[in-house]
Amino acid sequence: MDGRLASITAGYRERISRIALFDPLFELTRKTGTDANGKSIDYFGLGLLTLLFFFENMLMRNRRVGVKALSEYLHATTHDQYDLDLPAYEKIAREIITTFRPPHGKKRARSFFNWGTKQEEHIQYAILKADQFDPATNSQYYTLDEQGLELVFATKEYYSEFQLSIHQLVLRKQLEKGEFANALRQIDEMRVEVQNLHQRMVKMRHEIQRNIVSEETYARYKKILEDVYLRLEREHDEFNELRSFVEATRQRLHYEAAADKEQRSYQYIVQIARELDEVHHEHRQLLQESVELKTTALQAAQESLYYVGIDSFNFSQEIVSRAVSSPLPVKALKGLAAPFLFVHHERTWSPWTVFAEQRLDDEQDEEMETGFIDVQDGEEEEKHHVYQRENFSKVMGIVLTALDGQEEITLKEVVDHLRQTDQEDVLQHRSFYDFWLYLHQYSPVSAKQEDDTGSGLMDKALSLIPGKKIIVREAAEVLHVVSRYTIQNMHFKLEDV
Amino acid sequence: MVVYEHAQVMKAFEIYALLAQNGVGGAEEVREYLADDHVRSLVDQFARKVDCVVITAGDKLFLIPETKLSPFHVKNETLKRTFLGAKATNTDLYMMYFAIIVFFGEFYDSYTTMEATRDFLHMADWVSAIDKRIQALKEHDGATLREAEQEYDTNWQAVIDKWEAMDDIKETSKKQSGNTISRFSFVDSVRRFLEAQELAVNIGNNELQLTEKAKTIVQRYYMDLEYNRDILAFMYQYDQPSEETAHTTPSTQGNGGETNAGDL
Repeated sequence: MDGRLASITAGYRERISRIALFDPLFELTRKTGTDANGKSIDYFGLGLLTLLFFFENMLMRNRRVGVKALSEYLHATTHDQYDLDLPAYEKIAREIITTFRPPHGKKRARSFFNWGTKQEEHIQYAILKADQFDPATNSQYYTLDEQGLELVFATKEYYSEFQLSIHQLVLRKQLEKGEFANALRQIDEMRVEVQNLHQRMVKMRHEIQRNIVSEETYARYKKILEDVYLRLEREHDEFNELRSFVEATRQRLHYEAAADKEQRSYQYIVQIARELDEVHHEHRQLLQESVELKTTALQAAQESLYYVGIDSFNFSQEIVSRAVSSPLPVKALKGLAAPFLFVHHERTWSPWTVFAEQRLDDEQDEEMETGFIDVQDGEEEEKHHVYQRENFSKVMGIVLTALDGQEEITLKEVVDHLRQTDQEDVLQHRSFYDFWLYLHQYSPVSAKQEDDTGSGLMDKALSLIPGKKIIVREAAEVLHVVSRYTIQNMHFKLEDV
Repeated sequence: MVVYEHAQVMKAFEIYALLAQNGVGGAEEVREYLADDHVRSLVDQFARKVDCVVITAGDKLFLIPETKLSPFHVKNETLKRTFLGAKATNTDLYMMYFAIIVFFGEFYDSYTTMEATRDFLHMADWVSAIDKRIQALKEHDGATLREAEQEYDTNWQAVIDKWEAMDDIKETSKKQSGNTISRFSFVDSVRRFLEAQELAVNIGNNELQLTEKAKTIVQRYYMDLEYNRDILAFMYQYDQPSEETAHTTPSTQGNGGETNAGDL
């Protein structure tokens, strides 16, 4: 199996023991009891309150808390919900404590099949433990045991809030100890954490856009965003330090790698450096995002504070049920659905279009192909060549007429000649310009040389001037022949081969 | 009398034109819209003239058609042609509106939270939710429905019949989403409309999710105190005793009498 998949079951036992912590709370859920009015008592909730109560007392260094103190606390917190007297609370408190700390003295335990080791295993844990005994009042005091504390922590959000920092810390320790394989895994977990953070930011952005309805919520989001920013910044600093640390380790290993025995480690650290950079990069984007969220989204939301939302709205009841129960006329449905529709876009044809520039094909002179040479299939390309060959020979004919027995002529003179002889329409065709560009590019051109260019486009044109070659040189000025075409003037010269 | 500067009027019109085209504007438009009271009031006025409202949501600006029936809303013909096919009738169209409001009803069906109560809706559940509502309609006896028909010149019975006549799925057809006549394929064309309007996303397996745009519209339009009152008033006007409604309704809408007639 793939090494990574095989490691899925690693630490299975630890995970189970974390889940098992919640067992006593769910055991309490199954307890049933009612107050004097027959209202059922929320044992689960009271159980959690009990944990928090003991935790708080630990923080206050108050060690003398037992059943009596607990029942007084529960009474004070919940008496407006339940119709119970103090002795009844004492009974409940005793039941809860018994659940957390079984009276038979054995620790709470759970058996499970470990899919990592493929063995039946057994875990033990203790939520509450006895702390002191006061013989004068014959009362037993309790305090949270190790796993009890863990359970309290597992219910509070700051646990996940510092997750990334914890990963960073662990990663550093692993690198220091040279546990590179585990370090890679740590980086993977970090990546998941960063992606998780990213999703939460996206969610928050949407919440901000939709939900800010009062100064209060605005202030709350502002506070959250500030916290997020501070936290990301702190993590960012840590990333930077980690990076330089990895770099230093890499350099050290680089020299040791020459000694061959550290080869494997060196490969690891290179991979670690790369993956860490990736995660860092993703994290840096989060930082930017949070700044952006704070500046634009939140400010924009504040501006729209004059919006007044209603307290509760049940679309299904107020709109859908209403529509069928009356029933509303069918056309009213359009009104109800209208906010989801779009505004009508009117599209009309304007008579002015007649005067716009039109693209018309010249039907009379079809053989003069115009247009760009597109990517064409072979057949079309061949067709195009046939046209072009014909056109070139026509243009050559025109040039020869314009030459009128002379040896030399300029493009400008050819153009003038065409204008004088009422053949201006030729100037509208692209082939005319192609002809000149071709000559300019391949000059000197003769029938013999034709093979070099390979296209054979000039074949027919050159057959008009047997035993001659064409030399074309460019001249200085640029000719604006027609509105569509501009070309540099050229000298056209016929010479004997 | 407020005097507007030329630049403000032009800016307002630019924003309005963009909204009219896309239905949504970005951060830049939000900034300009919020920064200048005059520009904002002009854009709002422009929107009101076409029975729309402008809603800001974070760094987005939306133009949303109001509830009341208006000639400026997208034409029935356009919707039919674009999303329901050439043979669609008004009955199909009203089925579509019905399906849309049922769709959103399935997401927002709680008084205890402002957020949607589900992550996605399966197409099959959507079909059965519509069916449930149609069954509720059938509870009204035929006479009531026919009476309502006379009164408002609309046809609930036709909608019911249309729905009843459709099979859940067309067993003889391989692909249910095509042009077969079945409830599923009908709902599928509504789905295509919702997706084209960026109101829903198909996340695969025939499960539909709301987009942020859809959530924004529900939470900032339907749940806005002012617009919500309009919606209720809109529905209430049809509950009035028939004689009076016929006369009072157009004038309370305040945009020139018989504007509603054109579309139907």
